[in-house]
Amino acid sequence: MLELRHVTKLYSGIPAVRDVSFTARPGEVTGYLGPNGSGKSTTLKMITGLIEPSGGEILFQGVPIGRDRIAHKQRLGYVPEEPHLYAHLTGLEYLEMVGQLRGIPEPRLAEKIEGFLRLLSLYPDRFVPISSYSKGMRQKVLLAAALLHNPEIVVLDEPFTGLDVGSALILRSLCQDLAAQGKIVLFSSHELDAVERICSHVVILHKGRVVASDSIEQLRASLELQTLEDIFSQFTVEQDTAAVAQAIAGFMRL
Amino acid sequence: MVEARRQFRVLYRMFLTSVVDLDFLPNPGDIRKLAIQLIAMLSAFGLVVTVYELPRYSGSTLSPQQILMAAWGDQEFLIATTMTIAGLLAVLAWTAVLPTRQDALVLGPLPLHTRTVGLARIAASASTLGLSMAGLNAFTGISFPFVWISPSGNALRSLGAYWLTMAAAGIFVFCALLAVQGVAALILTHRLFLRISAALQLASFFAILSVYFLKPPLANPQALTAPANQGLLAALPSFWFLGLFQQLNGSTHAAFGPLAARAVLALCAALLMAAATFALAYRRSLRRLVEEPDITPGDRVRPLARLTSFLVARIVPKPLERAILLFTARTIARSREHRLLLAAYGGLGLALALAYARGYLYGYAGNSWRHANVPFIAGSVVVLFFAVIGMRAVFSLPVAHASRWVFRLTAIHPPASYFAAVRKSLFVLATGPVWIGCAVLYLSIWPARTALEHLALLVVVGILLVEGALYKFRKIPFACSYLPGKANLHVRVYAFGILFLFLADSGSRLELWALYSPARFLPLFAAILAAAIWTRRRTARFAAAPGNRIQFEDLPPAEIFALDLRPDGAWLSDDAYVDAIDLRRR
Repeated sequence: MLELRHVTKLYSGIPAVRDVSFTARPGEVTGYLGPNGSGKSTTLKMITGLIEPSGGEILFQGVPIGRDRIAHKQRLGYVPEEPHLYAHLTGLEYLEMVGQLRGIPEPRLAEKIEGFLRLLSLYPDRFVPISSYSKGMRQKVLLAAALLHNPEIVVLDEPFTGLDVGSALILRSLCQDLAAQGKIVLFSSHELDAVERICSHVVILHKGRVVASDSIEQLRASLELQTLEDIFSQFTVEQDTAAVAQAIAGFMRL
Repeated sequence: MVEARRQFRVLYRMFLTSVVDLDFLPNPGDIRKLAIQLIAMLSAFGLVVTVYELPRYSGSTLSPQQILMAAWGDQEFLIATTMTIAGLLAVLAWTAVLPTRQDALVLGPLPLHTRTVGLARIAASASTLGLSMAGLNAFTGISFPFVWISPSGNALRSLGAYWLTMAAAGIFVFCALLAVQGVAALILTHRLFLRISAALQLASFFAILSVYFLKPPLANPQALTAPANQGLLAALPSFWFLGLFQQLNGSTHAAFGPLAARAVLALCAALLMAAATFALAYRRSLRRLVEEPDITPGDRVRPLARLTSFLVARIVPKPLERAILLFTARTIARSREHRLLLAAYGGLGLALALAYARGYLYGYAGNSWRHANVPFIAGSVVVLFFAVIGMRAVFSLPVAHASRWVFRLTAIHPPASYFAAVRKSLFVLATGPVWIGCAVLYLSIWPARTALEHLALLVVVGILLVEGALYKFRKIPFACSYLPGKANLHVRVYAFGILFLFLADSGSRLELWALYSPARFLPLFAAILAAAIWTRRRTARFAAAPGNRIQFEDLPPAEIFALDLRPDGAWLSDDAYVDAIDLRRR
């Protein structure tokens, strides 16, 4: 069980995340939602250990993750929001490097990489530098690198970005399969339709604070709203969207 | 017209900060800091030359005519240095003169004339060249002209001649290299041009350094008029511009007329060629950048890839060490900036080694190269030194710094394992090739015992250098941010470089003295071996220190220097990455 207790992150005194608490359980797919700049990626980076919280605690099985960071890294797979990869390496070389850094034994690593490359339709381009890859291909490399070591916790930051329809459908099913295997799957996304289909639990963040954390059914019932989009809008959209669109059109004519 | 001017100004300012493509700087504002640092270094060089050379003229009892003739060597040296710096700048700005894919995609859809964009690029490059030339000659250019006044001239003429010559020499080299690139861009396909361009850049770099260090001393009346030297003089541009300076300064020496004419002709030809080819290549490149992809290699030659994997797996059996070694090798092979910086160090080392052996190259040292000699011994040590410090310097510059999160997230081994991997990479990539090259060379030209003795010493010196270079180095190559101007690294490198050159020279004499006598050789070898063992232990102790960690962020210079009495030396700012501290073990 991954638990965040009153986690806060300040950048030069300005809060990016404030007093965030929620729990992601094994066997569940937890959706982490929020508008741009609400602190989703900051929270996920704190969970991975890439940045330190300014306050609060992140616990795995009741133990702070900072107590044994190496063990935490070993059980974690992460797909970042931006596809930052070493673009001068080929897809195959990048995955080999990640596997070697993670200490995966050689024959098993080669077999795994080949399997991932084939299943993600990257095999024909395995010798091509990542600099020539499309956004979706880069996303697939990141996904393969995150799953290579069979992690217990899978953190996906907007994993659908750039993926084609087929790959997105595979990823949706994969998230559910991983949860069915007892893994903790936590992912942020703006694709509310996908979240609604695969997440058993959602956490909605707004201006760095958790404004809702429950199962989708529970939220629907308590708020008497039909879709996740309606729920999300109720909590996070403060503007009259039609009026803003009209204003933009007005500015274009200036 | 007004709109075009405004666009030009905006583009000029933008291109000015990107003349030299420095992708490894995390903050664009650092480019300005780095530029100031470079110009200050060039000015410092000029100041040292002025302080060292000028008193010779002021305290001289020679007549003005004799001073002027004696000054030819210094004039040629300053001209050659200016041309070399201009050439190196052109090499550094290689990728910035022609449009990039980013230009094509970002500027392409905007209502801009290609001419405006091209002119802004040229103006930005010219400004950088001008600033560098001014920085280099800031001290020499306001002092030497006043002691080099020709009998028929005056101070103002000498001053004008100096600056005109330096400007012409710099422009000539810059334009010549621009023309080379323009021609290549015109005659080759885009994909082939991208491949050849990198090779041309490196070749230009080595050519510039080799000419600078290897050109013979011909700036005296006898050598300039000797018929045997006319071929060489016709091929060495620094002497053409010496001729130009002398003519502009009012010299009537017969040797300078043809050289000056050649300088003017070469300058005009380079200017015209650069203008014509650049304009055509610029327009063509813009179109091709959008239509054709960049380098997209197909399947690698599988047997070769398999052989490489097999060899690397044998040399480096541990997966972590293999990952670091392969990442390092691939980055150096594929990143233009890193390759160029390494080439700068390697080229300098090679040029200095060749300069040591200049006597053998020009044939006036006989065939004593068949036996151990100081130039050959010193040359190998100098190459080894530059290979190690060059590689170590390159390790510090990040590649795609936003991507280094993967190293942070996979840092599951003790930091000492990473440091050991870096050490092994430095041995395999820097000292290994030099040792192998030297073994082939010396075993083929020297008696076997002498060659083996020298190689044994070279191995121990290599270990000493690697261990010294990696002491307190806590980074994974290319995976730590870089802050220019933080430490006086360049100053330290130069200081150590000068010290090392002195040591290499005197050490080589000592080695030569010891090579033919076991009674002398063994104590010398034992002393260097002891030093190598001591540095190895020191580095190992540091690597295994409790609380030691991998460094992913370069820290800004501290305004207050703390005593750092915390046991883990932790840096705790908002973005600090606290890595691999196992509290239970401490």
